[in-house]
Amino acid sequence: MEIFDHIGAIFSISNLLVLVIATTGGLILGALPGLSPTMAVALLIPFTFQMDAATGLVLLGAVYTATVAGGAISGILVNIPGAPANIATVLDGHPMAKKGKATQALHFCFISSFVGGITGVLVLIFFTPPLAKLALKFGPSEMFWMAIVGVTVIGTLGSKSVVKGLFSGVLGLWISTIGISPIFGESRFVFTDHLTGGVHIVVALIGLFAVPQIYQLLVTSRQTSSGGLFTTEDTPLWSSIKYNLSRVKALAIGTISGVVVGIIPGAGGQIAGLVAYDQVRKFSPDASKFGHGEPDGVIAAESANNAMVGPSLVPLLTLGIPGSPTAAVLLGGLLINGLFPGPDLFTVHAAVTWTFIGSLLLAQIFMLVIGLGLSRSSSNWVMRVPSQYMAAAVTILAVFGTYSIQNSYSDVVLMLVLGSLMYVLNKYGFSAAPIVLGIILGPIAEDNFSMGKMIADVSDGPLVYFMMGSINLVLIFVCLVSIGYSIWVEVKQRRKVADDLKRSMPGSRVAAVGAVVVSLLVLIMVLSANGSTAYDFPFLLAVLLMVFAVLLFIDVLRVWDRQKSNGVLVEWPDLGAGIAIILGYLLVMPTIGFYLASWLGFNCIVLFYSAKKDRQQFTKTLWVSLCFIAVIYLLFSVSLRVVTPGWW
Amino acid sequence: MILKKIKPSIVSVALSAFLLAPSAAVIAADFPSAPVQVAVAYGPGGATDFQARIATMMAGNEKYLNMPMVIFNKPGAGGQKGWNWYASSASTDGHQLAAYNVPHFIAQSLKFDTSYNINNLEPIANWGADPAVLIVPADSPFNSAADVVAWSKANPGKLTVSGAGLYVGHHIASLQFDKVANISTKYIPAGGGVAAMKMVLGSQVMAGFNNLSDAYRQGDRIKIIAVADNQREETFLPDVPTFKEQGIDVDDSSVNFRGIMARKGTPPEVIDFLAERVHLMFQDGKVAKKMKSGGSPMRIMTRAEVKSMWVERQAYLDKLLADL
Repeated sequence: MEIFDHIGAIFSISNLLVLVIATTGGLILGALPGLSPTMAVALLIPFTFQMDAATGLVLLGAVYTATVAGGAISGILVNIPGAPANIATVLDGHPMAKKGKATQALHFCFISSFVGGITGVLVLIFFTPPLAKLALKFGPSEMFWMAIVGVTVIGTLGSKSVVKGLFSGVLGLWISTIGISPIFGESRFVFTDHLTGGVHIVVALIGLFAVPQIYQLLVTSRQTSSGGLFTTEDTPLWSSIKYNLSRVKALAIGTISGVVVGIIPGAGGQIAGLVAYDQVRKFSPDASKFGHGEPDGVIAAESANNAMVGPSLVPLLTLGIPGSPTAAVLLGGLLINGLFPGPDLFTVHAAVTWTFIGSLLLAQIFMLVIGLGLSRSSSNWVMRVPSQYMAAAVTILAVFGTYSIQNSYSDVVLMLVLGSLMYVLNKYGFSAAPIVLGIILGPIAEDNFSMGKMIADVSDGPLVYFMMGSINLVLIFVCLVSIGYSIWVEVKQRRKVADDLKRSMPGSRVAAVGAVVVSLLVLIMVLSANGSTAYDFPFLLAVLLMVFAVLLFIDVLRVWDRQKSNGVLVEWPDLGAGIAIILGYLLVMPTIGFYLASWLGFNCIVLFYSAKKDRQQFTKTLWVSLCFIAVIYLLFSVSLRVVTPGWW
Repeated sequence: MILKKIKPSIVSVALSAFLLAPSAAVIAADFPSAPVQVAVAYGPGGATDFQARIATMMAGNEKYLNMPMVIFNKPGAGGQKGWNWYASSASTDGHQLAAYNVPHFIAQSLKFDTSYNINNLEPIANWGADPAVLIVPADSPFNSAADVVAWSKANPGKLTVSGAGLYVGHHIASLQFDKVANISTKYIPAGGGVAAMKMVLGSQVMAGFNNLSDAYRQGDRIKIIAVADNQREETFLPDVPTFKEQGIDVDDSSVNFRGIMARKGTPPEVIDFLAERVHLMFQDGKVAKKMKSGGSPMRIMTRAEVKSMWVERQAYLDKLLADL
């Protein structure tokens, strides 16, 4: 194996030092909302200008590996996935933390990431040439079906009922059509200037997950005086390892899903975790355990999103076609060193290339060791942070993270609006994961369908184009099985669970009426548009929304009078002040600058939501806020040179 | 005792004021008094972003701006979001510049309701020119532009051609090719140059227009048939003939020019200073070396040259897009 001729070069002092720093830094960056792996790698590229080719690539590869795993830390501990790839981890990871098993969840996360990651890199090392050929076979029709496979996962993702899940998913698909369409060049549903660029996936991710969490934390800090988020029990590392490795099925499903999704260019590792999560749930004898802290959920999701890293580099290294958004940024890092993807990479530049691939392997080991080392302390630490401090810190990170994705103030506004709506939706049994998945899959499905149709119209016609070809047929089969299985499980569960218990779900009347209203609004917007082909897909979505809304409504109608009034679900009195402070914070930010506004915002939130309001508390808050802002300033403005909102 | 408790809070206020103060001081007389920000209307990792980072990397040198240039991305809607923001909200003191892509921003300003056009932006200097090239899969029967034209004449409307999107260089090249060769092809906007390239590599389309730099990097995995420019590209593809050499009158209208611009209203002395120094900066040997190793063709042009190029493009695009 050629890799053995070059593997020695990794063990130079400077490379090892870079690996340790990059892995630790990557884990921390990944845990911050908004700093997705893509952003982290993009921010670091200018630093590699000064390094030699191998060291620069070791840095980027290690950061890529570590940020993907790091995104799970915030997901498990605070219910906010650090990146789209970690959404599936949150579904069972955070419930585990709430049960006091935060440390254990983190252990599973890193062990599974390691297993998946190592397998992924080995696949990259041994199977690159045949996989590259397979990757090229994915044209518009295959990508379209791939997206549809993703859509079939939506209904079962973390919602209280399949219909609500499907409604949320289609809503997400519709949100993805907002903005100027790249294929039709037409701007759709842009009723305010904030929406011209559409809804960026990470903006939606932060809004839909972080904002409800902030509100929840504020309410918690009012209602409980002790302040901590949850308790945690110590889990010996050894027992975590033993249990984790005994879950062969979850690990295998996760790793295989990750490898397969990783190879397909453009599908994005973002959905690897979700596909794996859905599969492991479907293969489980008791699907109802999922969503309440089932370790298999964490194991499958995390092994999948790290297994994706290696294979996503296959099309990148051989064809210059990146398999994930992060791999796209990594391409820049290769080019700047004169390393052009292709056979040259493994012949002329073999030394650098194999050092890079080898360092990915080593980065997995470092990630495992450092991650496991941090597990206990980080969960103990987060556990002890009083919720008002956590709310303030998350607010500032969310605002800053959102802003820095596209340097856009509109995105911050969007994030807050989406998140506030999500807080209400959460209360009525809808969940964020299917919406985010919808936003991810929307463009993949629509763009590929439109392109495929254009090609089909001048060749064999859409029917032959989309329905023929072995990969198409396999994917269609997978879709059918997935849908059939979901229906079967739903029917089985309905029999098992007493009907009334299921239907007296709080607020389902309001939810059903709300869903009908939303679907009507969307339908009116679509119909009042000019009716060009650019609106075909939104029209289909509007009809689907209507169907699911009506289904929800019928469901509720049957038990209409048996429903008790549930009282107020949203704690407005507790939230009012917090929302006012956050709005004020955003309003003053463009004028007084990010750092001053954040500092003031932090103090206001913490002081207002602290039970004690004496001088001691005041001083403590000032110091904590100052340190927090200083750390953010040093990390972003000084070392990463991120441009801040309000310009300073 | 009370004093002791208050003290830390006073210190903390003072400290925070101190921390924030330096970055607020942007009112010095000499330009530039602070790092110069350059807005890129595309995402990180794309060709424009990648080249902008290299082209501006020497700015901190005292020979040039004596202040670093900081790239920041404002992507969305094919560049429209970033340029709309730039032409309407950026500062006009010269500390906020933007990267331009011709013909993209000119075509968009003609086709859409944008807040920018060539009259409210001031070119500073041009660093690169990436011509569109006509490519086909490696096993394609086509070997020359004439082959493509002949097949297309025999099968009108059936030739599928991928490109990065609507109203970008590739689209303009495809429109121009159709017009001058009197053929009708099916242009597939693929939502990005990489996606368009993938469709050619995987033979999902019969041909494609793509960036010369990206096509060059693909080596023999594709065939490059013709360059849509007035002369051959001598550094990377000296052996590929232009359309004109093959008797098809496609000129340099679709060449993707990249450079830096300022907002109208920027003081003339600042623009002149930038035009001189940035032009010099692009010629730095280190920039040239990095650009070459990244496979990015350079074409350095002065402010005056860019100005007339913009006007020329606008006139041509006006005519071409009016026919659609």
